[in-house]
Amino acid sequence: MQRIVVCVKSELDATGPIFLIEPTVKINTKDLVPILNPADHAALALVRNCIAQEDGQITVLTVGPPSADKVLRTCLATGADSAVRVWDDSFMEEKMDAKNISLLLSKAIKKLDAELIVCGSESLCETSGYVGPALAELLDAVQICKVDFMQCDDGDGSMVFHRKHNYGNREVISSSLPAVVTVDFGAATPPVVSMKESIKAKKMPITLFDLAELACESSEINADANANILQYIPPRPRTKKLNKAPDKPMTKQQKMQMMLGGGASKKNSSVVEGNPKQAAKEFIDFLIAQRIL
Amino acid sequence: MEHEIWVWAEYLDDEIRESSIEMLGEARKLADKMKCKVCAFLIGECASKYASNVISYGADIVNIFEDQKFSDFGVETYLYPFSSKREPNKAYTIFVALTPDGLALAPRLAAKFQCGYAANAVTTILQPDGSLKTTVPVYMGKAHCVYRFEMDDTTVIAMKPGSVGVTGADEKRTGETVMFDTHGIPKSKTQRKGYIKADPNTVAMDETEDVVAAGSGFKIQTDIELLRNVADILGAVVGSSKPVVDKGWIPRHRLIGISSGRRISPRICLCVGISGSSQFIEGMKESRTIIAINKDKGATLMKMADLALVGDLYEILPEIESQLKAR
Repeated sequence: MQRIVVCVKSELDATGPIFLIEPTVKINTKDLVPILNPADHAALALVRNCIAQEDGQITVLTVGPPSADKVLRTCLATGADSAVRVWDDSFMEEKMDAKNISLLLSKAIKKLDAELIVCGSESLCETSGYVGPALAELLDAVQICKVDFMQCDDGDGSMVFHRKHNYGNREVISSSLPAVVTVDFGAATPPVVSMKESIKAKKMPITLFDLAELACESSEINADANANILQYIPPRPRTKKLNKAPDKPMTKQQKMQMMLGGGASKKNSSVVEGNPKQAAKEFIDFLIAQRIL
Repeated sequence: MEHEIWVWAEYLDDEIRESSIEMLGEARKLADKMKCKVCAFLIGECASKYASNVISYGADIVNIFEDQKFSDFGVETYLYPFSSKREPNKAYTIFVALTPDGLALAPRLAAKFQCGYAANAVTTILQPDGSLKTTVPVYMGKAHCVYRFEMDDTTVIAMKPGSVGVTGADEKRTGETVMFDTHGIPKSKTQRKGYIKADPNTVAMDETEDVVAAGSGFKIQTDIELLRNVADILGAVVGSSKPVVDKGWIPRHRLIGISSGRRISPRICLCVGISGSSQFIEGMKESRTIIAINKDKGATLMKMADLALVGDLYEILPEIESQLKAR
């Protein structure tokens, strides 16, 4: 029976409305609702699809205040067998950056003694993809990113994973355990929660790990982050980038133009009017120039 | 404190990856301002043959780790060159491109060195006081967060391929190459068992390199065959805008636009008969090259495209097909 931990995050739904017109030190997120990170939900669904309940017990784990219980209940209703939340009254929500969260998760995972750790590859809000690899480092486990299929190899306790590689191809990798695996959003579709599962999940207990349970000092957790956030600015517009290295280095004027968003000037105009033969020829010449053909 | 700039130069199919060339360009710009050296790491089974190429793209020193153990990518083995070269009294800025392998290595490096990490960085600008200002997209690209990293600390900066553009090679550049002893490499805990090639009919939209999109310009369903023929020759995947998917002509998982929930960033996006509603453009504006075919010269997408072909798609597409076949 395999012990599997799926790390999930309760975060603000970044697909909701945020409008940033001017630079600001703090983003107004009052219109966003907390949800289960879709990549984490896909991770849970993938594990449940690939590993049957009699072969592996899944514990979902999160770091968060009591409001994160909602997200754990969703997981319990869609395939998880038990749930653990890590929180201590001494924690400050603003100090919970990826580094501190990874440290807390790793201590909880060591306590739960898991062989396979799965999490979403990135969150909606931060999209840094830091937690998965950080867990592998802290637990000294094998790290495999962007997996969309997993299977237990009978006999020697290793597992087979399909990892996303270039251009939609997949690498088949065999790995020993313990392993930390990250899953992209879209790798598996979570099932729709039925009323029966939802009611059953509401009654299941959620274990709470605080600092004492984890045998951890609060000074380890509230360490300052390496980077300071200066401000939030509106997103930059798309600038035209050259696809292949130019034959001659760009002049200073061309470089300025590219940086300001106009695109490096091209010899031919980029709008082609004329007969279809001419248009088709321009298209093919363009693809050749871009080294696509 | 002494500072060094590191770049992981990856290679694929017998040449240095374009994304690594971009990283070398960024590293070179920063190094020139900071007056320090760019150290490129070439790791692999036959890494040394790319050394002169890497120097011409901006490296001052190339650290070569050549061993059969590096033939397949494994995070644990690929960490070894970086951790073995790290010196305690130096600070580093490490540039890694977010290729499938770089995506696994970059945050792991940051975790191993317990240092700052900027993922999907858009710009990195050296400030007059010596700190580094990095801009990173957050909340699904709706805002950019500006971070400040001190130059006395090590930082890992990971950038998406295609975000900065390649610079030219300077063949006259000289540099040093150093071969390293690889006896201390840890044994890999993973083993590559096989490789599955993508099937263009089933591959996901956000993973494919070339995309061809059909729009409302097509009058009946069978006309989309014109586009499919071109797509088959180019090896591209056929997607479409929302009106076409709503009519049922193209399956839902091939939708491009906000409603699909994903942003695609292929190498080329050929949009045929699409005017360019904001929802569609949001879903594909990250593409490296946009080519549009439309009768209407003033359509939003035509103005945004890198190449705009004005004309009737019913005439242009067969021409493209026959000219491609004639090559």
